[in-house]
Amino acid sequence: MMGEFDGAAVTAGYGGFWMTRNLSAELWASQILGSASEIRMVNANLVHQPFPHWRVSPFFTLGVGHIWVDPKATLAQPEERDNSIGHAGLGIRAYITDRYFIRAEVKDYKVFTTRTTNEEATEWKIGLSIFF
Amino acid sequence: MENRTKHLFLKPLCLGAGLCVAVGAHAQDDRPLIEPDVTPVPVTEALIDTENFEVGAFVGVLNIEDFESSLLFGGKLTYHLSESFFFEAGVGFAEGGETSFEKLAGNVEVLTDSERDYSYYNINLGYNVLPGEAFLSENYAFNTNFYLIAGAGATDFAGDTRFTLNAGAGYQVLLTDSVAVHIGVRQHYYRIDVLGAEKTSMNTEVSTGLSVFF
Repeated sequence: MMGEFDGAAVTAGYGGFWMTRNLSAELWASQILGSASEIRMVNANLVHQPFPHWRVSPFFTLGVGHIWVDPKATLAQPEERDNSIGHAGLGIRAYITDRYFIRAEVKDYKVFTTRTTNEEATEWKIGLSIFF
Repeated sequence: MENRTKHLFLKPLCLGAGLCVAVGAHAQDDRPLIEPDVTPVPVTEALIDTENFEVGAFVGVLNIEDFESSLLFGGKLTYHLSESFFFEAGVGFAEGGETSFEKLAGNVEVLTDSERDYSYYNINLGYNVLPGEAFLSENYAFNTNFYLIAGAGATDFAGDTRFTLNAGAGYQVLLTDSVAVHIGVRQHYYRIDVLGAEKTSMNTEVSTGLSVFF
């Protein structure tokens, strides 16, 4: 899936497992390439789909993960930062056939830094997913 | 009376005549009018059966803007969603050369040797826009697919990793049920600021590859 993470382009892939008709668990890996840094992120989240039988069905998601920020070489202090991250989001799954669907989502991330204030980032993504 | 006699004799005669004609015509229908000289030869063409995954390697030339052209090699994994659409994930490796500034100015280095290593990955969506057949002499027929492909990924070059878009086209020839040959052209776009102001670099890749279906 591709989109934007706080203005920077994000490329992400995921694998999910449906535990019940409404609930699934997912594991995500993302790479965000911005002008100031390169970011890698791993997230695990739960997805709840209240109406799974709808052709265009909404879902909610909550998850936690880890983020590694690698500032670009031209900046003054090139040291890597890694923090924990939590997110909440919602999205839409639009089924093209019974096996393929277009998935679009918006997520709000909270980066738990060691400073007094945490950082916030908004991400939107769109992509194609396949059922195996 | 005359009518009755006529009917008595003519009816069975007509029926009998009709029957003979019918039987005669039926007997003649079995054999064709003109016998063809040529016997049809069964042609077997390679087709993708039930294999949805394809793994392949490719080699070619990549023109890195400002940094000469270089030999490129890489691999890709394709998943066929349907007869028309497929997902492809690819990686490629090349090496940049010297800029014209480095050549003309003499003992100047814009990038170190390790920064000249060019590697990329991308995730693309492809569409088989023109499925068809190709014929090699009169004995061989191959199923082919002309496809358009586009996607995004990242390029690691000149000390940084940059978000890259790519778009291109290719031609796939199915040699057997499980082996295919590809030839294609791809354009890679990313923004780079190593030589001053940030600009969009367009790198052209021409490659040929072999892939296996499984």
